[in-house]
Amino acid sequence: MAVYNSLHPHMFLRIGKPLMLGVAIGLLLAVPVALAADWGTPARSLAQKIAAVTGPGAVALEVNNRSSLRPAEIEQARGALVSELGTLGVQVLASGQAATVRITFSENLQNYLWIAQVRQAAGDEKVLMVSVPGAPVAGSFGPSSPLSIHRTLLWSQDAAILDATVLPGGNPEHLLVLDADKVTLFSGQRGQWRPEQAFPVTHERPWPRDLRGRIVFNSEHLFDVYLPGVACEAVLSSPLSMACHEADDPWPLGTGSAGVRGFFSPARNFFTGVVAPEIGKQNTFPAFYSAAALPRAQYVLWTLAAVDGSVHLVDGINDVTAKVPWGSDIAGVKSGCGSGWQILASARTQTGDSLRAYEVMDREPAPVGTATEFNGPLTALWSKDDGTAVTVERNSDTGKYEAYSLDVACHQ
Amino acid sequence: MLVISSVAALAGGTAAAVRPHYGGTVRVVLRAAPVTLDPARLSMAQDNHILGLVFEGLTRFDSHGRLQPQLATRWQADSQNQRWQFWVRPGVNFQDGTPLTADEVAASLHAANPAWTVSASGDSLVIETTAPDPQLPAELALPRNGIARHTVNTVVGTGAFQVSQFQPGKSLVLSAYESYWDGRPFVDTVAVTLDQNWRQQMIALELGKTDVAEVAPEQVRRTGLAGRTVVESAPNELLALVFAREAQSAAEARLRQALSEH
Repeated sequence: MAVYNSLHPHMFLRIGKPLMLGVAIGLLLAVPVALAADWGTPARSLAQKIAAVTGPGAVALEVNNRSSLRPAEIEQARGALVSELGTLGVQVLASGQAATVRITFSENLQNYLWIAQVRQAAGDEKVLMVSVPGAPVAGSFGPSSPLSIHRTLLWSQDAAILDATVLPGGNPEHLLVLDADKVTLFSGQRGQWRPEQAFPVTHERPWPRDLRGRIVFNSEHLFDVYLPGVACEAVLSSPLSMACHEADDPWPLGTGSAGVRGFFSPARNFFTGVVAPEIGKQNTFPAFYSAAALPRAQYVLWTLAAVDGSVHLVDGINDVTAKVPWGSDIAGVKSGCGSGWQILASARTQTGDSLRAYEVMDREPAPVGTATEFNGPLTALWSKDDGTAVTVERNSDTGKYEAYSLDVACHQ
Repeated sequence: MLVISSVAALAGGTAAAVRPHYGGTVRVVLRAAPVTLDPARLSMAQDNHILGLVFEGLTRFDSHGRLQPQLATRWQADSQNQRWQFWVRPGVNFQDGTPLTADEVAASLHAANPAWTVSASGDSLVIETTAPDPQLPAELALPRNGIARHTVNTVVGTGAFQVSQFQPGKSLVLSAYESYWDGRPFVDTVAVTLDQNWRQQMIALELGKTDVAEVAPEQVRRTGLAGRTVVESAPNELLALVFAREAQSAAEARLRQALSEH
């Protein structure tokens, strides 16, 4: 049975059992100015759907933008919707109404979507959607413009490599390689590294199996190392040294610009799910193996590869579970095309593991390019501050661990 | 020992590049029916491979049958192979938290081998045998030479699992040892049903009542065709002909002669 709002348009008093109406409207377009005149059609269509649920009366309206639209364009779309609602007897007033309407503008790869979620006090929630055919003109991927993954071998050794990073700047360049026992500093150029110094990693407790670790550039003291239950940092002395101590310091999850950190279990191979600072209003998620940050114009979309195999897309307001055939390891990479950032996700093949780039629009990961196959399992995958990523393969033929730098390129 | 498994996770048979998961219970059925968990009280002939999860030796055999260090980091012998020195791995604790020392190792090995002279000094121990014994490091990999520490009510080892429940000859429940020196195992619990013959094991597997069962060598091919995962464990049986110094009968003398000619 439908529940209708008050018929009194100027009612500001609370009624005995307030109705809650939430409406989210999604997606517009990537070239909004050119298509602004077309907004009347989807606004009219969605307004009719809303009115069919709420009936005539007063509602409060909230607007969220999860699209690439600019604020002025959002205001135009909002105005069109308010106007259409008004013609149907639905008055948009200030908050505190018997009903509240929340609007979110979003987008995906194929269509513009206006999505409406309607929740009423009776407990029933309606989700309404208007789809506008046609992919965004800018920032899209068509069949002729996939991303390709370029890999460059950084270092190969018998001991398991946990992470590797090329320090920014410097001539010659410097490479840091982390394994269970040490950090090794190399100098030279890619493909021709010479070991300069090794810094032993000290720890009191046994390492967990499937050991993982990160090495991160630090502009103040050169680098930080994160291992389960252990934190190390370089000490700028002469000669350079490294100090380790038992600590549960949270690890950086994305790149330096996306400063969210995650607490890593000191005796396991995954993040506990607790992050700091919080993402939106949420600081606890299911335990996860890896995370990727996708910076947007107004927020950061976080993708978490959970221990239970699910993939969570978190934008600070919503936590949506996606069904994708991904492995445990993902990383965010910057391409400059499409939305600017994509996800590299691992998967298993018959001969080894593979990596593939995915674009995430409107919480729908879609592949953009073919998979890059490796000759063995991938044991590590981490984002780097410069928008690249590093992965480690255990070569099935040689048994050696090989660290590769990964970057993605657009094929226009 | 050959084992078959119906658990995809044990064989890594997953569709995507997933990392190993922690947790869960693995159910195992075995023919063995030990009535004691004390390594020193095991006979050479008993098949007690499962105890390798609880007790570790100074050495071990890898999956290729090659000898590798375990609780010892290295060893050396005199020219006669009669006096052996082993260095004990640092940073290892028994499952009750007691640190592993050369003294503890020496006491454990002497209890299992009263004929040996075993003495500890610092972080190493010396084993002296009554006769040259070039195979001593391999002998130390046998289950009966697993290093054990006796407490008032029980016996503990240094292995990846500790004993939670034991019904002699019937069942054994092992739980993961969180502080295991080589990393806490992924599986939480191993539940073992003992004294199950081949037929009982196959029935348990078919009915889904076990995840791991043994398989007779002659059944390996058929089992593999049935879609099961067959894994060959490290060798744990030694078949040898041992002769006395003097022939005990004319028949034995002829047997010796026949063997020497081949």
